[in-house]
Amino acid sequence: MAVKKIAFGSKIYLDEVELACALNQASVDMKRDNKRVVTIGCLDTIPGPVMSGAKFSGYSEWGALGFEETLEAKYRAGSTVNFMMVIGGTAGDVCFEVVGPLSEDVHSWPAGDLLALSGAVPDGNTVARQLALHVGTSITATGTGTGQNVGATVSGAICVVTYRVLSVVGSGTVTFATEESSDNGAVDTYAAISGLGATFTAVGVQRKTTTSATKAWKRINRAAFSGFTSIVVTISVGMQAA
Amino acid sequence: MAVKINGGQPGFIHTLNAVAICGQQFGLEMKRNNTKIRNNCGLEVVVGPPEYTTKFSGELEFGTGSTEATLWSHFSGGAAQAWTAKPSSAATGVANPLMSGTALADSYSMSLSASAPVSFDFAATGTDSTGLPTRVTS
Repeated sequence: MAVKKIAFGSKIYLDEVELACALNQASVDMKRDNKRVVTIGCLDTIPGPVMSGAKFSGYSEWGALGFEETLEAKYRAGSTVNFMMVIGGTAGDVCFEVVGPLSEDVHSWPAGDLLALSGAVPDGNTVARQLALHVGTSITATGTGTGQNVGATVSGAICVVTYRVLSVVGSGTVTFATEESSDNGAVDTYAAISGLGATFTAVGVQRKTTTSATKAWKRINRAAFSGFTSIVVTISVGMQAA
Repeated sequence: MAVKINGGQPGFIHTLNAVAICGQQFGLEMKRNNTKIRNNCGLEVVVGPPEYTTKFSGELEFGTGSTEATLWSHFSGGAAQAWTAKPSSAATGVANPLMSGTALADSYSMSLSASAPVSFDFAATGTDSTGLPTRVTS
């Protein structure tokens, strides 16, 4: 059944840092650069490429891994960031992801009010819709997560898996594989999808894609886990708009 | 007899790719690319080719077959899809004209504000060869 959701409780990430507790506004803006063509003979519309962006704003939370420190570091580095909203904030919820460079880092320091901060990923980037398989899940050993019907993708479509290791205790290595099945393993046993695995030795984000056809049900297998006492992860799987 | 219809009445059906869309605001904007010509005979307006945009917005519903799933399917697919809009009143039984056509998504945004439902804005341009939606009375 279709349900409305309030934004409160949603998880919003900039790479491996969760910003939700600092933000009071976030949006993903999806656009296509379609062309309306009027010729002497006819009217036509030419589908254009996806040109999406994201914006987020809130309170300038200071300190280690706060909103201010995170945004400043990533903006000054000028590198590509992975922005994601997990709408609702639990496993199974819809996520929207935009990957691109930050274009804004705006500080507001009004007297008599809380300091504010905003950032943006500019229009012109790709966007992916995913389902969250793990949200803030603590992992202490190898094993498999619960499968979800994410939807099959046909050959040529871009299947995306985004792994975020949010925190670690101790030092070690963890290896993830994304597995697929047509019936949640009832008859068709789960098997790893080639090219979608990832290995971490520290916090970070990795985004893996494949254009091979994939089956509807997907789950995460912690194929190897050593050294760490525990880690916390958010992992999502879905499809990128072509 | 001519009657006015409240947009919030049950029976207002707006579909995209045959799936009902649930929102708070629906719009259809039609315009003609008319050209004004000023010459020594005066001012003349030459009628140009029409085009239209269909828009909807509101609080977003999630789940299988939901507005969210439908809009993403349309946007990510990158192909024009059929749409319909039929404002009708279940209370009075009035059957109003059905507007329909095919459209291609231009923009789709999703916004999260603290303490508010997740909201959306969607806009698509008509790809019908005449530049106008079809209007059918019944």
